Amino acid sequence: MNAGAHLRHRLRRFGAGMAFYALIIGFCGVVLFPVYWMIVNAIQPLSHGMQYPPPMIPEEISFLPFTTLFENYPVGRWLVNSLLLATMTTLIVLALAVLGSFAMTFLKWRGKAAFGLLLLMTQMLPEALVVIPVYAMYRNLGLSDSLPTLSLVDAAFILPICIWVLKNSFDSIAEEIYEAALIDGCSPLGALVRTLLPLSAPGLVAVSVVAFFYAWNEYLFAVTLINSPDIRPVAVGLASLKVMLDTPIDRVLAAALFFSIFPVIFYLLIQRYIVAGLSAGAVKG
Amino acid sequence: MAEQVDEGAGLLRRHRRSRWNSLPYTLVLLIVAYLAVFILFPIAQQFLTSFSNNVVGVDKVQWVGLRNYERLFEDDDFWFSVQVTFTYMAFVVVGAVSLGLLSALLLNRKFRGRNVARSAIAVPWAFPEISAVLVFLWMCNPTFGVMNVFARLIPGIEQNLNWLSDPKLAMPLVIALSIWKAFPFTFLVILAALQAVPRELYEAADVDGATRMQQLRYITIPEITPTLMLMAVLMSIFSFKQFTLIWLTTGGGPYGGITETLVLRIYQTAFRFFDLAYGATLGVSGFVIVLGLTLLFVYAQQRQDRARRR
Amino acid sequence: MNRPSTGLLRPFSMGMGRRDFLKRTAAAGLTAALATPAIAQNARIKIPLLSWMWNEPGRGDAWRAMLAKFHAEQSDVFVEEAGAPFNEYTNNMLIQSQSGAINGALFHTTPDLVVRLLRGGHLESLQDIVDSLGIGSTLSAAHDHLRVDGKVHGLDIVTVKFGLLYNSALFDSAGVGVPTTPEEWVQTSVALTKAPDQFGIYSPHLMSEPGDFWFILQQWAVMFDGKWADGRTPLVNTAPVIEGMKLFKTMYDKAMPRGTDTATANQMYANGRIAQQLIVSAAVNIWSSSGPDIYPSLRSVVPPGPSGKAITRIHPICVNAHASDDEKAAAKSFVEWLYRPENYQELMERCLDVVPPYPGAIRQEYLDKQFWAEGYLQGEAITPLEIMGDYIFFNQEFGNVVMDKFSEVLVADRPVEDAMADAQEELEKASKRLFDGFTL
Repeated sequence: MNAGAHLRHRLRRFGAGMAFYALIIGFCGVVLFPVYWMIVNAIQPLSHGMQYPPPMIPEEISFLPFTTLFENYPVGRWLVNSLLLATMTTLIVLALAVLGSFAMTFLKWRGKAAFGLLLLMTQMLPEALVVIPVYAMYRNLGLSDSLPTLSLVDAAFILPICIWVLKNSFDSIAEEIYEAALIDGCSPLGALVRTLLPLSAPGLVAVSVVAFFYAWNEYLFAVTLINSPDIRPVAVGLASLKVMLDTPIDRVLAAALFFSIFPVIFYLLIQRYIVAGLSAGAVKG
Repeated sequence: MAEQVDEGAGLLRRHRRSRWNSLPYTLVLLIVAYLAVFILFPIAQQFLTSFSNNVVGVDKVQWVGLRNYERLFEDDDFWFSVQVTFTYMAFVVVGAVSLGLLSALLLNRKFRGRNVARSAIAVPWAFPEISAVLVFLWMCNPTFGVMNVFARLIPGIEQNLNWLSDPKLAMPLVIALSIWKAFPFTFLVILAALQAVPRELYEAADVDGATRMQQLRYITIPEITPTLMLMAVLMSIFSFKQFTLIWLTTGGGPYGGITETLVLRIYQTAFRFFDLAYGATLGVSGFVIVLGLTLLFVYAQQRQDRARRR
Repeated sequence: MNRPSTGLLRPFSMGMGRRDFLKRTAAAGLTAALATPAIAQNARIKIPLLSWMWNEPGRGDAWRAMLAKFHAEQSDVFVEEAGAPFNEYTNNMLIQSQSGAINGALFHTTPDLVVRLLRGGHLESLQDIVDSLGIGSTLSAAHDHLRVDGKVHGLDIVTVKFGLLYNSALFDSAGVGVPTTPEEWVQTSVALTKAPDQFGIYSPHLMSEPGDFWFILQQWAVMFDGKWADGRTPLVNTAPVIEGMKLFKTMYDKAMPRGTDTATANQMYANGRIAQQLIVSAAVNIWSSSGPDIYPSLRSVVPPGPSGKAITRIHPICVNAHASDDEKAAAKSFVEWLYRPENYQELMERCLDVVPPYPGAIRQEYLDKQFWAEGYLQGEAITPLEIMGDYIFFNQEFGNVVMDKFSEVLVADRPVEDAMADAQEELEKASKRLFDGFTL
């Protein structure tokens, strides 16, 4: 009897475990399916994907879309341009977001709420609304058609969100830690650099990723402010493929896949820090 | 003893702070100036434009007072697009936050392969929007899109569906795509917040014999509410500003502006119809509408902040 | 490296890539490339040519070759490629024009954009070029709306004219002939449809591609001699327009891959899975490279409606009125060079174009070899001005109203008459606003 009940219990637990795994696998499957489908259609001959029903597993593999892509378009250069643009944007955002969220979390001053409001306000403005004045300004100052100046615009648009995200991370650092640093003789900025930044390193990683992805994807400013083909970032290059009538779909999907690989790998490499960074829970008092 | 130390620290703090009183203002001024150049100043210009008749190629640009705003109030399409915008926003915000919360709760449990699952779920966040659109269009092609294979598994569906051209399906599909793209971010942030909930709270609850559901209801949710609220705001921003995912899939159609949000309308008006003045008017008005939402959030945030720093 | 970087800070502007270099030298002929040493270019005046065509394999290469030839023949002017992909090109030009001036001495324009830029005072008169080449009297009528006080302000670089481009191999294997009436056309198209493997016809119909949708939808009414507007009066509920829309709807229901975007449809066309497209002559060059299997089978006929008319639009090259005098002179010297018969003939042949801006701009021997061109040449040309009236200035906005209502016909089976009556009403209401303060 006893053994039977024990077995039933174990079976039930086993069943629950299986159900749990089935749920997780099913969910991940649904989430990842579009990614899978993109890969499948970029590596199988186009005719396979253009029949009904399409084969769920590629029956034949061809890397022709990739090779023709690399032969016909300066994808390497696009990639380098995007990397550069995203890196510069990230650096600008990091510097300013640290200062901004520091002021919002640890400093006492009047107008904090108004500042927070202002930050959110700027985020409510669609880029399409400001692109004309920004272009006019850049043109008058002779700043258009350059990646560094483009990164300034990108940084301005993602900075407010990054300040909020970093503030969230700073919030979980006990105020006592900051005060202890002050008592130890640090200046506020010294305390920020020596004590707070090391504690919020994961938060900084998270903010970097947010900024990096934004600049990587940003299209409207890039296509407006960049005129010369040789400093085009990937987002613009990819769009130029899509609008061409004669670009075969498999090549477009190959390009889209190629465009996605880098941020995904980047993310997978540093994801540990991201989750930790978005919480910074370890130091909460 | 402890009080004495606190008092000493307080004195010290006041002393040190006096030299650094202007620091927060310097920092904030720096940031505000930066944002002013790229965002506030351009917006002010657009605000002025909304009082003009600036249409590309119209003979002479001049001030027309409130004429654009008068037109706005009679413009049914505008009000309809506001409605569409809020519908879209509501579904995306609720969908992305709740799906993020659910998956975070699920993946916060200990199990083998947890890290793999976490990485897998986060991939759409890293996936560029334009790539997402391209593969989504390919999947939803009415002739040979793979979505038909799945749809036909449902009893009663024997024909391929029209997907994005179907007036009943267009909005749900666009919302689904947006949630797919957005929820991994909320998932990550909420997961992080869950890990920051102090273990002792759960241990104490266990001692008191609280069930899992009770723990969720009385410990987890209250602890992560600030994060959930921040996510709700970020998702409203994401969905309010969303352009690529809608414009390239339905273009606001299939007809009657069923999926035409305000941002699409602004884009159409300014860049396709060349009517910059009215485009600016739509933009300014949309901005005022969402400003209300923002104020609400800041109010809540402030209250919570005060509670924390009490 | 003959493309110096002009940006303020462009760390990764690597000048010309290896592939570009090969392409260009091959195009210009190696001797020409070697004959223009890099040093000489310092004395040249450099002007950008803004265009969306640089990204298009056929046309982009053709223009690069023409520039190389131009640079080999003279040493005063150097034309650089610049611009944006097609979808963003209009926006970019618009944004630039709003900031005061367009950022380039020379630019290509689209039929919609050019009328706006002309009214905005951005275009320099090119009449002196026309006069000096003696082509004033033979310049195509499609240029008429670019005239101010009789002076033309833009010169066509590609005329796009409608025809029915069909795959004769598919017609043969289905045993059907070339349609001459709308009724026959429907029968033919249905006979050619074996979904999902093959479809009779495709015409863009998605609101996510409003440019393509409207561009081609206009031709459906013109086949029945329809006009979309006359002066400031919209005519979208008139009988010929309604007939055209009904024909479209019939085809959509019976012979089209519904809900398919143009890129996918073109792919299907290239794979021989769509038999016909109502498409402009300028698009044919894309099949020569991307559809080598079907290209030899392509033939064209006049769009099969009672009118025998085909909308003909021009895409002009323009000189920026706000450029400096030196730049303007340089830009004009290029346009004049380009418009000389021998050069323009070469451009047309490289682009596989068949509709010349003036008769001498095309060689008969070349034209005779274009086995697919017949229908494009036979159609009676009709200009946007003739079918859109004053709404030519509000083409996209007008089109959006029509497409929006017509989409309801397509996807929700609303009667065409009702939808077009709605569109008419909406357009009449809009006309007051649109033309208020708008003097022609």
